[in-house]
Amino acid sequence: MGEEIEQRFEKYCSEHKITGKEKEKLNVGLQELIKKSKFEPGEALGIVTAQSLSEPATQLTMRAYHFAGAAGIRMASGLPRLIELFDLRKNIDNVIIVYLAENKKEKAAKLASQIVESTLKNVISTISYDFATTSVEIELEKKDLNKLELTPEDIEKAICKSVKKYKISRKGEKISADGVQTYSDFRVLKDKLLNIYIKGIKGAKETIILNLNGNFVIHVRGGNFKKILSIEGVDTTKTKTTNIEETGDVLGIEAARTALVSEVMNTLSQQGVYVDPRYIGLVGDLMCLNGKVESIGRYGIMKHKNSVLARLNFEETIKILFNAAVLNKKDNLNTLMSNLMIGQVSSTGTGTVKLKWNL
Amino acid sequence: MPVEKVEFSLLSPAQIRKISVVEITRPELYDADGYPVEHGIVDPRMGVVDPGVRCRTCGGRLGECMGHFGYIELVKSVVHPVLAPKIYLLLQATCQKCGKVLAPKEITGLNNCAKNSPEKCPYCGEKQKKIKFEKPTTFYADKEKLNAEEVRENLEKIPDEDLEKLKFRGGRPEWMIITILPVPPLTMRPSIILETGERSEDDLTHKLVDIVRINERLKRILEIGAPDFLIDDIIELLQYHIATYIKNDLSNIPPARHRSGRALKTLAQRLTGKEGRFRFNLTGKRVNFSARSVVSPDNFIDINEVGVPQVIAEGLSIPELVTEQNIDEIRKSILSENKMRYIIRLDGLKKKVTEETKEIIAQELVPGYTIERRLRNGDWVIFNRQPSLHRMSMMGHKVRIMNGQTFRIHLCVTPPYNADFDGDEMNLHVPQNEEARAELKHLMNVNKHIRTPRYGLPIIGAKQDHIMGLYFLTKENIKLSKQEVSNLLFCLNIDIELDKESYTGKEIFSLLLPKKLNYRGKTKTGEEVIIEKGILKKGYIDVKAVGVEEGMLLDKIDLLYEGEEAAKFLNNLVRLSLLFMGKYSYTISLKDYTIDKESELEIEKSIDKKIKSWIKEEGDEESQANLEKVLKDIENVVRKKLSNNSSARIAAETGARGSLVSVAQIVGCIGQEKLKGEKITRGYYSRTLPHFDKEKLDAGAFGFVKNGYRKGISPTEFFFDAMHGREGLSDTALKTKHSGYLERRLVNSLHDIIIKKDRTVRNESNQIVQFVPFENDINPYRTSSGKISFEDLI
Repeated sequence: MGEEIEQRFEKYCSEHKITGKEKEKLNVGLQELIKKSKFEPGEALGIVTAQSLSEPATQLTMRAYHFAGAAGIRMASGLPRLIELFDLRKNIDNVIIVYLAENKKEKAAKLASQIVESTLKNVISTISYDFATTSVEIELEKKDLNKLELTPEDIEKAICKSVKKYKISRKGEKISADGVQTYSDFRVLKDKLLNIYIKGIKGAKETIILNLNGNFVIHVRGGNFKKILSIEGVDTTKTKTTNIEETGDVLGIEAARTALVSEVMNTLSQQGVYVDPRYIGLVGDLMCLNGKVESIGRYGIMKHKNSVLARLNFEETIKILFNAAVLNKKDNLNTLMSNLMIGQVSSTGTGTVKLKWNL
Repeated sequence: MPVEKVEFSLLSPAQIRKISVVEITRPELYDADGYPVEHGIVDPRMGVVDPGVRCRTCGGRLGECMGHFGYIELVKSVVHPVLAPKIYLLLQATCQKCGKVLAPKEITGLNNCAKNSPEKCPYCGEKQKKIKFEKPTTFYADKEKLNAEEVRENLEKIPDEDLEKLKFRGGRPEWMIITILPVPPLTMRPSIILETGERSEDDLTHKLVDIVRINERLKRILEIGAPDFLIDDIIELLQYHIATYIKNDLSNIPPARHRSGRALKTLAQRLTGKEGRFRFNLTGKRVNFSARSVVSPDNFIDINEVGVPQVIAEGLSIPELVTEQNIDEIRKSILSENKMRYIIRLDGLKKKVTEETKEIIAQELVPGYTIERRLRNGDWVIFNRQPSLHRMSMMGHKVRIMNGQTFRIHLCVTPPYNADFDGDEMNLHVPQNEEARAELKHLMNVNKHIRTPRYGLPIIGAKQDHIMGLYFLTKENIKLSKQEVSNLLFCLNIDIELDKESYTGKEIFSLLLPKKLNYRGKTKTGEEVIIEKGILKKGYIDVKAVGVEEGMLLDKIDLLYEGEEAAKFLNNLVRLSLLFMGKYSYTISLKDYTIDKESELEIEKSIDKKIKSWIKEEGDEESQANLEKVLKDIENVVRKKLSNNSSARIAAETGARGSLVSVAQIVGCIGQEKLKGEKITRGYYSRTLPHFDKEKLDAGAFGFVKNGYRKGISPTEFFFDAMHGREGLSDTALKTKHSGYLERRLVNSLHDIIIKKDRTVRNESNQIVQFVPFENDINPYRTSSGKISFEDLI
């Protein structure tokens, strides 16, 4: 503790040429300052933290999205984003921010084409149905194939893999499926064909290359974080996702905490709201306390509370009450909420000590 | 004796009989004469709800008797609607023949055991029937309906040892089948007498009437030996009534309704939700010794004072112990003024002090008595404004009794409360013991909350006119005559020898500063401010020195000299500033928003140019961004060309009020109106308003307002402005809801994170959250912006 301050102090002294007695005197003052700014035991840090985060939340905008860069991928922001983070919402429109091992624009473009999910419809020029021969003909677009660095064989293989009902054959850029008896069969097949996955990362709907102060960055909407990290040419030390839970699953709990703290911090500072980062750190610590990220709410942190009264005061009163009855739960009144309900002083703040003199 | 723990478990039928005083068998309430029927649902043995009656069971009066339970013996058992899912799990987990838990030994817990049950019992070899559960209360075994008695039999078979394995510890599982129904005391369901003299019964009483009626009918029908289907129907009905009596919003069954069609509020609904027993009555306490009134400003009281109207002060009291030291004083005030309200004798008897009795009372007064005196100047009280979003929403103030009907607060304490004076009301609470008073004075005192714990900078500071006044006072070339100075200093209660004929503003301001203070800072516009040894040497005072959220001078004084000194500084500073403004003031007129003709033309031209170069094309963000830059350009012109004496400019540049952007919007143009952060595109087919030509859509058709407020805006522009304004209003309305819930969740999740005596941060199960609070044990509340700056020491 205090190392950072000590270092700053030494640096300051050497810069201003403060030595000897003067320095000692200053050091005494500094130690006094450090002592004065310590926390007191009994401080209800949790409540101060909760208030410090939620009081400015009333100042955030409801505007749900903002765009990174002039024309970037839209990202959630403001109050909705904050709620999303504390909720640990699963189905968010997560954005993966990919940094490059080699900072070159061409590399970025290449990587982007590798990441974005391509289906058959991206490489087809025409698709037609011949009633006479009962065959479906697919013509591939060579330009698109080249862009994706694919050969017609790859496409054929991909089709064979998912279409087993019909016989698939290929002549150059033409692939045909035989034995499609009716037109409605063709319609079903066409839908299926167009959505056949051929390349990229599943779920990566959109990629955009941005130039952030000379760094080329690819923003990917959707997609699997782990798979993107395993692509060659991706800087795995910097690449990140806006989905906290996924960060935790892929990079571990420490990464999840760091990501959570920085995301909350960014969301707040974007709107010009300043909160001491250590408050967010405490929330991060708490959300990661049990080895996996947990939400602020009835299915997360509240679920583990061992005080029945505190929990039934929050949500799902009846359910918790009956569960407690069946399991013969006991509330030892060690939380603020349960003491409040009973009408006693809880052991927080000045309640941690008792007066010897009865007033 | 403090309560040590609260335990939850199931009530057994035997316990229910034991706590009951009467069996309820008659569905009537009152007889023909209006007296409650014996063994009826409002049997008088269950408690008193009418004044003047004594309880038939305990003899207590209204308020003394807590009420007593009764019971209904059910003819046929019924499944408990809320516990039915638990019963289902138990039926799945145990053998239907021998009652043992089917799942292998290593599995524990009800849920796990139910999931891992083999089809054949490993102990008796019985093949298990498939149990099906139909919400809310019906069970089937291999498609054959089980009645409650059969379910009960199955549950009875479960041996006690196996219950432990299931972690079922709240009692015997068969108690979850209701055979005997407790009837709550009358005090829990009082009837009210309407103006017409009619009695109106509580929802629970209504429901109990239904239950007793059906139960009695079932009894009769069984006696006469009615056909089975008829009996089944009645049992079904009994089940329905009991289910809705316990919880009236169960899925799959319609809620029981009142005659008027309103759904009844039964047991579960009494407890749940915001208006339920837990959140409304147990966590939300009603208090005495409090007052509420409209607040209005008073800049000449201290920041930690509150002006209390005479009438309110007379209605609030503080208990005070009579001791040998203060007995004479108290006796005197009992006789002279009407300041005492009650005395409490040694035996706890309370007596009112009146004009007639005051002499006798003063006579009998001895040490050990407690008197209840009225509020007087200097008493500490808690002052609060809702919503109480942070701890500075409740602070300790000193009472100052004043004329008028409103509470008076200092303008500087407006930001922590987020109060204004457009009709805001605030609450006042009077502490009733010495301990609370000490906490108020030393912990909640406004002077100790100048700094917010959120980011470690002042949240109480000078505002608007205070800042303007200080700017005028401390800028160059302000000279005040000896007489003026002595007038000012008299008001500030500063006592010094005036040995010069005239003083500069800076000199007078320096008198407020602590003698040893050194300070270096910048003004909002970047000019240097230097204070050496408590004397303002260079620069002027503005928001960056004394304002809310950014006043670094105030911050430094608070940090180095603690709250009291900072509060004194702030109190004096406000008085000085406002008194000075009484002489040297300012006004804002149209002239303050006028620049020379040429520059105005220049602005107009640049707006036109920007509009012309704008391209409609979808997705062309660049030209849109270019268009929006126009406001910035105008601001630059305004900065260059607007007179330095313009009050609007001074207000903006000292940070007293407003900004140059709003000046630009008045002088130049308002700029792009936005909805959801983008230009306006919604409205009619292919255009925003029917006033525009579909073929010729310019920037104005997408919400760009090219006129300024001074010139006036066109009807379409006005419409776009209103659209933007409306978005803002609906946004705030929606936002409060979401952020309120976020706050509730955060507080509920974090409220028992406490720094323990060993200086670790722990939660309620004593898990360590942080080994060192905040990683470096530095409290943002006691530092400037969360950092220790030793530079201040020099």
